[in-house]
Amino acid sequence: MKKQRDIQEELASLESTLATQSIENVFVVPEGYFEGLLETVLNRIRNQEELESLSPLLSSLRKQTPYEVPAGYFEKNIAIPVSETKEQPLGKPAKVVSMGSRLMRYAVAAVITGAVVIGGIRLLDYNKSNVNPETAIAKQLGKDIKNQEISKEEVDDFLDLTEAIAAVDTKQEPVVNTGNTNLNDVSDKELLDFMDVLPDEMN
Amino acid sequence: MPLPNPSDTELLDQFRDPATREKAYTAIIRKYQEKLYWHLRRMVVNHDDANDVLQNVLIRVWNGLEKFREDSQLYTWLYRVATNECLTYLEQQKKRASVSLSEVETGLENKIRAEQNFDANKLEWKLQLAIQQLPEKQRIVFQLRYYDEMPYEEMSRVLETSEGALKASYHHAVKKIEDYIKNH
Repeated sequence: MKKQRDIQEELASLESTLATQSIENVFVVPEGYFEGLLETVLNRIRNQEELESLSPLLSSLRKQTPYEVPAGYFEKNIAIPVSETKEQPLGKPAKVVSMGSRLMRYAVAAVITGAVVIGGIRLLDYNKSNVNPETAIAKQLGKDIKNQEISKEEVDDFLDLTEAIAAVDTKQEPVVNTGNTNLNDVSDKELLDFMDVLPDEMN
Repeated sequence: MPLPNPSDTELLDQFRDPATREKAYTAIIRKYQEKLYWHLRRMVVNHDDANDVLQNVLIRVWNGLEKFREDSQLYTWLYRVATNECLTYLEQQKKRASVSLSEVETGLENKIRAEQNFDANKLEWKLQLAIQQLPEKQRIVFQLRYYDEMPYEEMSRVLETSEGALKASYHHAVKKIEDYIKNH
């Protein structure tokens, strides 16, 4: 009360007509707004805390869509000018068929089916092009053994042979022909002996 | 015999305890939500805008209340959070519309005219239109003083401005409103 009196006195000292005017609220609030507000806010807080615990990065981002809509887009597309609306002939009203939503459903279904088919084909191609020959041979070998097309003894022999080849291969030094033979560690005597051995046309 | 309402200090203590945090928050919001709503509503005019800003304010309160050091009253702190959020909102609207602040104010005037029960001949509505003609800071000062009856001392904490500057701002605002009402 004292506060209000102070304010009225201040306004009177400024010779304002507001001093004599009662402070009236002219705005309207939807019914039950304040009863529901707290629950709405608490729900938002709970969502925020849930997201914080799941992903601090996501929760720190502002929920703002970065896209822009052309100026006046919604006004143009939502409000259909009266001149563009066709008058319905009087009499029996035309049946309303919601083509838009059905067509949209078909279109969405077609797009999804297409995407699945193309994805499948590409996946198959990918798998084909990425076949590991060793894995493929092993698989085929497994099948042949299962079907008794190759005997176990034949497989054992084959494995022994491949192990032997592998052992020889790994022991050998790789032969790299660089075309630039280094003869620094060959003595002159050895070179002369070698020259003697060569046929005449090569000397 | 009903239990006496807990004081702000008691509510703040309860808020700092995780076990009673939500209960204390609920009590604080129930106590101040209407005051904050009307403070914001007078600034942004439209209910939906006021609702958006208020929800953001209340979430900020939840996030920041633990750090509130009680240098000022809880009520003052809440008003400061609400005022800052409201100014940010108005600034965003200005940027979004790529218009000057005066055009935002024209927008606010249009919003008043679109309000339910608007009557251009009624003095109360003329007063609302007059308030929207004021520069932003002056408008806040006028609303806080005239409607919220906030003492200059508290207002200086909310707006972080000297009492003398606030007093001068309020007096200017009253004169401008007076002129507007007389000429419209």
